[in-house]
Amino acid sequence: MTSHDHQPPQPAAPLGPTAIKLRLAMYLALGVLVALNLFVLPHDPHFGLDGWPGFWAVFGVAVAVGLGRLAKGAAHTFLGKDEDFYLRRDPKPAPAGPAAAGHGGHGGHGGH
Amino acid sequence: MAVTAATGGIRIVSDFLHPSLIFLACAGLVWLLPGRLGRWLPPIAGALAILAVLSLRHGDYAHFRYLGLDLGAGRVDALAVVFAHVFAIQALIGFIYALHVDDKWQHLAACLYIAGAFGCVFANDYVVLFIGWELMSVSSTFLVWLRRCPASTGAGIRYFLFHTLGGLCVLAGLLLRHQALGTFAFTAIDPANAQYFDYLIMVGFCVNAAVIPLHAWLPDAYPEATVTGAVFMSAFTTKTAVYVLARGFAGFEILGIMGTLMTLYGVFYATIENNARRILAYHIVSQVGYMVAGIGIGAAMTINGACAHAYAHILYKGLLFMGAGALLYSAGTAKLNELGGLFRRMPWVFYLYMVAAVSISGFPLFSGFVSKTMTITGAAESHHTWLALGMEVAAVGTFLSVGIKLPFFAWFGGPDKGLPLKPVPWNMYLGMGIGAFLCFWIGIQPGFLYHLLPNPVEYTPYTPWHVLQALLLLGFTGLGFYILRARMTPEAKLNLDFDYFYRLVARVFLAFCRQVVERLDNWWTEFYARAGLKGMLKVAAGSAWFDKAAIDGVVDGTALGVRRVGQGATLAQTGRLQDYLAAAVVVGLAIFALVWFWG
Repeated sequence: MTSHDHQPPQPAAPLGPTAIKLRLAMYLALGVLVALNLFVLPHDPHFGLDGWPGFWAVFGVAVAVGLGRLAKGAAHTFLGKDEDFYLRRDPKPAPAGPAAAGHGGHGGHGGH
Repeated sequence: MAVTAATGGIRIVSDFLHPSLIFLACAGLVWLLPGRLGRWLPPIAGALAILAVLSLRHGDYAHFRYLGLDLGAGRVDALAVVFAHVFAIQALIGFIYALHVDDKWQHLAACLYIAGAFGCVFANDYVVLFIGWELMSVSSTFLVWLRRCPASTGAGIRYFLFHTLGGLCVLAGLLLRHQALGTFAFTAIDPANAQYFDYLIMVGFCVNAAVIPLHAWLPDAYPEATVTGAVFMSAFTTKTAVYVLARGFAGFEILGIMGTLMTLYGVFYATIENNARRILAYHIVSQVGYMVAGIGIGAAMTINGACAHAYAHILYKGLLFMGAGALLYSAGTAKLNELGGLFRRMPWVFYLYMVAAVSISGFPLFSGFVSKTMTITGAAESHHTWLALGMEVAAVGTFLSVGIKLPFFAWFGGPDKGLPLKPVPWNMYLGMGIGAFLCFWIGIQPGFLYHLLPNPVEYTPYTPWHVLQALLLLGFTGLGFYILRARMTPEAKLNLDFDYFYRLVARVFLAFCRQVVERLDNWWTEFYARAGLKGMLKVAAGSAWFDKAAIDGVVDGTALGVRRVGQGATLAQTGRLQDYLAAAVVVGLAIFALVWFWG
C-alpha cells in the first residue's frame, strides 16, 4: 500500500512581486466577472439555483477543490500504487532464447 | 469523380472515390518503397482524401455482391460526411506531424488504420462495417507495438485481446441479427424494440467507444503507442465508435447515463495521473462521454452536439497528443514529475498546446465552446437536468487537469530540471500549427462546423450569458487550482483502474492452465511416451525403410523437399504474437483477394 509513502504537500514558497501582481490581476478579473453576473443572467435557468448571481462562480471553485481533494484522497488511500505494481505481480515470462523461439509455435508436446 | 471497376462479374460504377481506396493504395506503395521515400506519400493521400470527401454527394454508392450477399460500401449522408470530413483533415495533419518518421511500418499501419475508419463510416451494412472495424483493430495494435519496447508490447497485446473481444461481440450480434431478421443492413435501431443481438452489437461498439467499465484498454495502450501513432489513435478508434453508435443506437437511455458517468470518470483519473499522455487518454474517455451522452439522450440538438463535439474533439485532442508527443520526443519522458520549467526552451510547443487546452475546456473563441455547450444545453432542454449538471462538473475537471495542471507542471512548476532536449522537427510544428488554426477557426466561425451537422441547428453559442457562464466556470476553476496547487503536485504512481480486474481474470486463466491443463498435458505426454511411442517408433522405422528403398527411388528428392518445407514452417513459428497477427492479416487479405477475383 502506498498511502504510507505519501508526503504531505509542501507549503507554498513566498510569492515574488510578479506573482503578487498576477494574483491581484486574477482576483480583479474574477471580481469583474461576478459583478457582470449581477446584470447578465440566464433567461431560462435549467437547474433552479443557476439563476442566482454568482452560482457558476461558486460551482466552479467548489467543484475544482472538491474534485481535487476527492481524487487525491482516493489516490493516496487505495488507488495509488508503485509504478512497477503490475510488473511485480505479473508472472515472469519464460526466458527467451534460440531454443524458445524455435519451439514457440509447437503444440502440447513440448516435453519432447 | 467517377470510379469504374469490373472484376469477374462484379461491376461497380460510382460517383465517388472511396477514401479507403486512397489509403489502401498508399499503404501498398509505402510497403514497396524505402521509408525515406515512402513517408512523403501519406500526406498526399490525406490531401486526396480531403478532395474526395469535399466532392461527395449524398447517395448510395459502391454496391456489390460478395459471397452471395448484396453489400454496400458507399452510404453518403449528412451523418457520414461530418465524420469523413474531419477524418480526412486529421489524417493529413497526422501524416504531416509524422513526416520525419523513417519507419515505413508506422506509416503503413496508420494508412491501413485510417482506411478501416473510412470503411466503417461509409458502410451500408454490418459486413462491410465489420471488415473496416477489424482492419482498424489490427492496424492500430501495430501503432502500439511499433514503439518497440517491452511496455508497448504488453500494452499492445492487452489492447488487441480486448478489441478482439469487442469485435467478437459485434460479430456474434450481427450473425444472430441476420438469423432473426434476414438482413445485414446497418440502420437505426428502435430502442423500444431492441433485441438481445442488438445489445450485443452495442456492447461491441461500446468497447471501442471506451464506455466504462470497458474503457481501461485506452489509458493502458495510448500512452505506450508511438509518438505519432497516439495522434492517429486519439482521432479514429473512439470517434468511429461514436459514429456507429449515432447511426444505430440514438435514443438508448442507458447511453445517456453511461456517457455522463464517462465524463466524470475520465476527469477524476486525469486529476491524479502523472503521465501527460495518460492524462490525455483519460480525457478521451471523458470527452467521448459527452458524445455518448448526447447520442443516448437522442434529441436533435444532442445528436448535433455529439457530432459537433466529435469533430472539434478530433482536432483539439490530436493537437493535445501532438503537444505531449513533442514533449516525449524532445525530453524523452512524458511524466510530469520528471518535467517542469520547460517554457523557456519549448515556448511554441506550449503555445500550441494551450490552444488545444482552452479548446477542450470550452473557452469562448475556441472550438470546444461551440460544441460542448450544445450538448449540455440540449441535455438540459430535453429535461435531462442531472445529466447536464454532471457534464458541467466534468467541464470543471477538464480545465483543472488538461487546461491548468498538465501545462503548469510540464512547462512551469518550478525551475528547469535541465533535461537534455532533442530539437522538435519543423513538420511537427507544422502539424500542430494547422491543428491550432482549425481549433481557433471553428471557435470564431461555428457556421463552418454547424452546416455539416445532420439535424437543423437551433443553437446560438455566442450569447452574453453563454460567454459569461463559461468564463465564470473556468475562471473560478482556476481559483480552485490556485487554492489546491501544492496538493495537485504530480506523483510517480500507478493508479488502479478496471484493468486490474482484466489482469486478474488473465491471472486466473493462467493459473488454470498451469494447474489443470499443464498437468493433463504432462500426463498425456507420459502416457504417449510409454504406451504409444514404442509402437510408433517401430512403424516409423518400417516407413523409413520403405521410404528410402521404394518411394525416394521412384520420386527422388521428395523427402528432401518435404524436409525443407518443414524447416521453412519452423522458421515462421517465431513465438511472437506480432508476427502471427501480421501473417494472419496477409493471409486474410490474400484469401479475400482470391475470392474477390475468382469467386
